[in-house]
Amino acid sequence: MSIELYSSVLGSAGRQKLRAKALLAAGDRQSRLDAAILLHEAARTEDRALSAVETPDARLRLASLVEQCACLVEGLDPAGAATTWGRVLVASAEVPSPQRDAVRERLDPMFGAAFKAFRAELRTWKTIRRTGRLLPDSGVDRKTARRELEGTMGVFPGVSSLWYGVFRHDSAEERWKAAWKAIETARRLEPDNSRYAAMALWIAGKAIGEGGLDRCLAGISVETSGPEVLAMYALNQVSLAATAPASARGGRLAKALAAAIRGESLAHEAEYLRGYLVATRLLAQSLCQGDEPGHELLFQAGLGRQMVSRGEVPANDPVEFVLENVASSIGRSEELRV
Amino acid sequence: MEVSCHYALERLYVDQDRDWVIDAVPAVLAWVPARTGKKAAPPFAFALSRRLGGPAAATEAVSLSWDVDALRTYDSAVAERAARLRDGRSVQREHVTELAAHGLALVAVSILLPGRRVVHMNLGTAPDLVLDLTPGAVRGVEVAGRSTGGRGALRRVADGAAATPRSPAVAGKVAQLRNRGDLAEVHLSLWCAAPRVAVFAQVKP
Repeated sequence: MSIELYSSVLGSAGRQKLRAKALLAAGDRQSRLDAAILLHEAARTEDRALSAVETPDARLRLASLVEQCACLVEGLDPAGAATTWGRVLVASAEVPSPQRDAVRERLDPMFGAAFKAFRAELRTWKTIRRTGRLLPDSGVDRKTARRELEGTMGVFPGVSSLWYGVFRHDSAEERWKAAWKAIETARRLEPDNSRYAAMALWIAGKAIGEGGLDRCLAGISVETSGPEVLAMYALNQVSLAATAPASARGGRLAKALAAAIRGESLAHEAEYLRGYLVATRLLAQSLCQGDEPGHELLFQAGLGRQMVSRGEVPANDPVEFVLENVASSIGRSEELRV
Repeated sequence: MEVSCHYALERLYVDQDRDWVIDAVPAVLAWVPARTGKKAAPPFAFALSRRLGGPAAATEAVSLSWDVDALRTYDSAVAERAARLRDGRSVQREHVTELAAHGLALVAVSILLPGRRVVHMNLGTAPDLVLDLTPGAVRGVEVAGRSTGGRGALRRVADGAAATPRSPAVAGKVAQLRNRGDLAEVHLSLWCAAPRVAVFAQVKP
């Protein structure tokens, strides 16, 4: 293990924490959100620094996890902290009692209070709990559910899934600019969440225009993205290819096919999308060969049941069908995490 | 008690990494003059003790001053940020005390541990300010601030307090720090705004 490497990876985390404290002291809504974002980044940096140590001893592992958990508590994200808290408990078993207690002395009451406050806040959700949905079906329930979400978000702006819930509401009501802002905030809090990234791609064209979508696509790394992002990437490239000049069309379709093939190879990471990942690859392949794909490709991909249950299939636009269904599937699956 | 040391706050931007200092100085400006009802302009003298316990007379005076124009050369918005914190336009005012204590700990490190610089900050684990990150041999400074309560309040932070019918027992920082096998050197930096007293003591080794 190299102390230089450890120190350099840890690098900016300390500064981010102090900056976040100053923002929390400023206390206004935007400052609290900015502080939460900085503290989430600090927690990730602590995690990366721990990974840089080849064989961290039990005390170092526990201290790092305590620090990560504290960043998330102070970053107004008890939901994220609760996940890390589990890792703190596991790491604690390997450290003898007096030292373990000393390392956790500050965190235990902090986490306990935040967890209790968050649970109390969630108990105020009457409509969301009754319907079991962040985005209920009826209009009246939706209005109440949104108020419940926003109320909790005011107290805990660091919980990314709350921002995702607001994104779901805004996108359902086709308020694309507001939806973009919400999903971008969720992504800043949790940049490694593949589903947030995929949903951002889904609405980018509607919210920030074709040029904006193109910039988003250019920022995607096909080699490191998850299956949700790869499906959205490929389908958006296919959509843009339809209106692209002939000289650019082939390039877009080739990128779409490469992403679709890789996405299908990662289907085991997203079983709920398997059929759509296969369909995406078939569509890209067909277009690359110069064919005009029909909806029989969707049956071939195993999506027959979805086509029946959806009731209507856009006759000439299987790409749109797959795109909307991928978005809808990701939307529902992510919602269950709150 | 004679003034044994004078520190101009604007020096802190040079003595420590500017990134640490820039967020702590407005809180120092807002917190240090507050509440005393006496003189509200620098210099401000803190009665500083280098040992935990011992007679109150065994203190030295650390005088802290600042020139807002000089501070502005390092941070143009410093006075405005301090004013916002001082006016309490925040629902998270407890962070002001915490931030100011961090700023004053940076001052203490600069005066009392000359040449040493803070390289990291912890939130969930002690020590708050880290001087050396070597795993298993961390060196740093644990920080706390109290707006009121004087030496008694600082002593309770250091030594803890027994449970009372109205409050649970509080573990002392000294015992907690000494229990940590991964810490090679720790100092305790405790500050109170009214009255202006402070402790900066090495608790380990």
